[in-house]
Order: sequence, then structure tokens, then C-alpha cells
Amino acid sequence: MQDGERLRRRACLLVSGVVLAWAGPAGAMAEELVEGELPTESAAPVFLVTEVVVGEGVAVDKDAARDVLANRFGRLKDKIEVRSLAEVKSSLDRAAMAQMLGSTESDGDLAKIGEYVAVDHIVFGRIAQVAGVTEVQVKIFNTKDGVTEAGYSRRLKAGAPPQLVLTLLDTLADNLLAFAIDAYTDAVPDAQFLALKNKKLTPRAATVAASPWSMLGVVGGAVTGAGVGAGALGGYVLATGQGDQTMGLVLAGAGAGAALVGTGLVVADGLTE
Amino acid sequence: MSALAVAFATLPLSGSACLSLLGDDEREQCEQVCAKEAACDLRGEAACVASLCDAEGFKVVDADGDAHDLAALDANQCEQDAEDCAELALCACPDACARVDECTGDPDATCVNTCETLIEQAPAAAFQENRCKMESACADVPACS
Repeated sequence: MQDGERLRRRACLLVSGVVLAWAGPAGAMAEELVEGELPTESAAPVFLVTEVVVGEGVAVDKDAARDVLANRFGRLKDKIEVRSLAEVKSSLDRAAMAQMLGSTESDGDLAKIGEYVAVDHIVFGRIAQVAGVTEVQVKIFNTKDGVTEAGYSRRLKAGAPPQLVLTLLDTLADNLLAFAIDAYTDAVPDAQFLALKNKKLTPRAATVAASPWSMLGVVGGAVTGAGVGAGALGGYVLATGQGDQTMGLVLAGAGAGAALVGTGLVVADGLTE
Repeated sequence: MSALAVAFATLPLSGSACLSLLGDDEREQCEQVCAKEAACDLRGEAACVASLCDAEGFKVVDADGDAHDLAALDANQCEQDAEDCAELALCACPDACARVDECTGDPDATCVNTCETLIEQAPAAAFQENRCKMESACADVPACS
């Protein structure tokens, strides 16, 4: 029994070593593992992005769904170490891994996966459809503590474009990322964001004030012009004695009145500036 | 006379407002939004104009379904009022979250906080993605990632 346990332990260490060697930068560490030492706490937490289980009737490719999660987590590669299932599958029994992820979410099985591939956290998801409504779930499992430490879900309304499932997966992955940033990194904004803080902007250009003439002034000017024109025409009719004298009187009076009102509007515009 | 002046002062009758009714000024406002984003190196001016503006001003997307008028985005005003580029970058979150909520039919109360956290970590990529979401027809939102 003890020999069997020792063999299992060696096999596990060998597998871990192969995985870490594949990861490249951790090659030296992998060498140590093959010699029989267990991995110590690394600076950056290691997240394994596994499969997204897609239920029947959901018009989403499971590989596309998995890539959404993996790409999202890849954005934080400077702060956390991210591995995809494709990376570790080469050194593990693919069928067994797929079966474990697809058939169960039990904490025991997830912890076992974490142990096999030497990761701190496992990210996984599930998409299911019931009565036209699609539900998307994502979770992070902590392999050290053996618990699901964060989980989020959202629904896509019936009749919505089916490809929006991927958008929901994006937003849920963002929730997990924000959780990971808060829980496992210093959460300090990136240098690029800090540089943006130092880039000051000119306040909103006062386009409204830039115009010397407000609408009131424009209307007042037009009314004044029309009034002067009408008054002049009326005056001409009265002075020359040609045409309808009453009409000339009305035109002259109305023109003078309009000119006065228009001038008043221009003055009011000046007061309101 | 002073009462008249006060009454007139409360009316939105500026010359620019009149022009905007004709569509001229709205296009200028749209270009100003893009100029600020470009000044902050968050999105190229040409790409922004192509996505946000049309000949008359701001685009309207989803014209066949529920019209989504980009002139109504709070982010435009927020970006104009931003005092620094970090503040401008964060302007994208509320409208992007609202757009996803609208398209999926499932509101997420944590979205804005999450969005701000991620913009702090990768400003340009996250800003462009969020701007894309709010400027897209629902069917095109998944292509923003």
C-alpha cells in the first residue's frame, strides 16, 4: 500500500514537472520537482482555466466558450499565472480529465484536478438552457482550501441573439477577474492607468459662449430688419401718394413697431449674455 | 426688464443650440468626443469617428429594432467634462453596462465596479471594448471582445 502511494506520488510529481517544463519559464522549478520536492508558494497565484460545459440546445461552441474565459484571464498575465486546459491535457489522461470536468463539479474531484496539475485555482463554467432562457455560470474553485470561492451567473432573455451568450460569459469572466484582482493581487492600478491620471485635459470647450450672437439676438435682428423694411415701404407709399394710403399707413406703423420690438429683443439678448 | 431678462435667460436659445437643431453642431460635438479620446491615446480618432459619428452628428444603431441613439450616451458628456485621461477612461463603464443589460435582459448591479477595476488594470483595451459595446447593435456586441 505504501509502495503504491509512493508510486502515485512520484507519478504525480513527474506529471507536474512535465507541465511546468512546458510552461517554459518554470523549467528550473520543474527540474527540482522531478527530483522529488513539492512546489512551494509561488509569487503569483496559478489559475487553470478549464472547460465550459455547454448543455443541449445552446447554440454556442464549447471551445469558443472556453476561449472566452481563457482570453479574459490572459489579460491579467502580468499579475496572475494562467494556464489553459489545453496546456495540461498533453500530459494527462484527456478522457479522464474531460469526464471529471463534464460530469461533476464535486469539490473532491476539483481538488484532485488541482493537485494533479499543481494549480491554486480552477476556473470553470456551465451554460444551460431551460424554456428558452439561457443561464451562464462561472466559478473559481480554490484547490488549497477545497472550496468554491467565487461564483456568478446571469441569464439571457428568450429571443435575444444567441451569440450574446458569449457576451454574458465575458461579463461573468470579468467578475471573476475583478475578484481575483482584489483577492490575490495588490490591486494597484496599472502603470498605464496612472500615466493617464497625469494627462490633464482642457475642460469642455465653451462652444455655446463662443457664439457672440444668441438666438434671441438673431431673432431680434431679423424682426428689426423686417420692421425697418416694412416701415420704409409704408413711408414711401405715404410720401409719394401712390397706391393705397391706408395700406401705407399700416405698413409704416407695423414696420416701426416691429423695429422697436426687434431692437428690444437685441437689447434683452445683450442683458442675458 | 430684469424679469424679462431672467425669463429669456432660462430658455435654451443660444446660437449653438439653434444650429444643433439643424444638425451642424452635433457633428462637431461628436468629433470633439473623438478628439479627446485620441488625445488620451485610448482610441484612434478615425476609428472613433467611424464608429460614433455620421454626417449629421451621432449615429443611431439598431435602427430596425429598438433605436439606440448614440447622442444620448452619458459617456459623451462625461468625456467632455473629464479633467484627466483616467477620468475619461472610466466614463465608458455605465453606458457599456447599460447596453449589455439592455441586450441580454439581465441587469448586473456589480458591472460598473467590475468595469472600473478592469479599466484600471488595462485601460486602453478595456476602454475600447466598452465603447464598442455601447456603440453596437445588440447582435454585434459579442464581436467587441
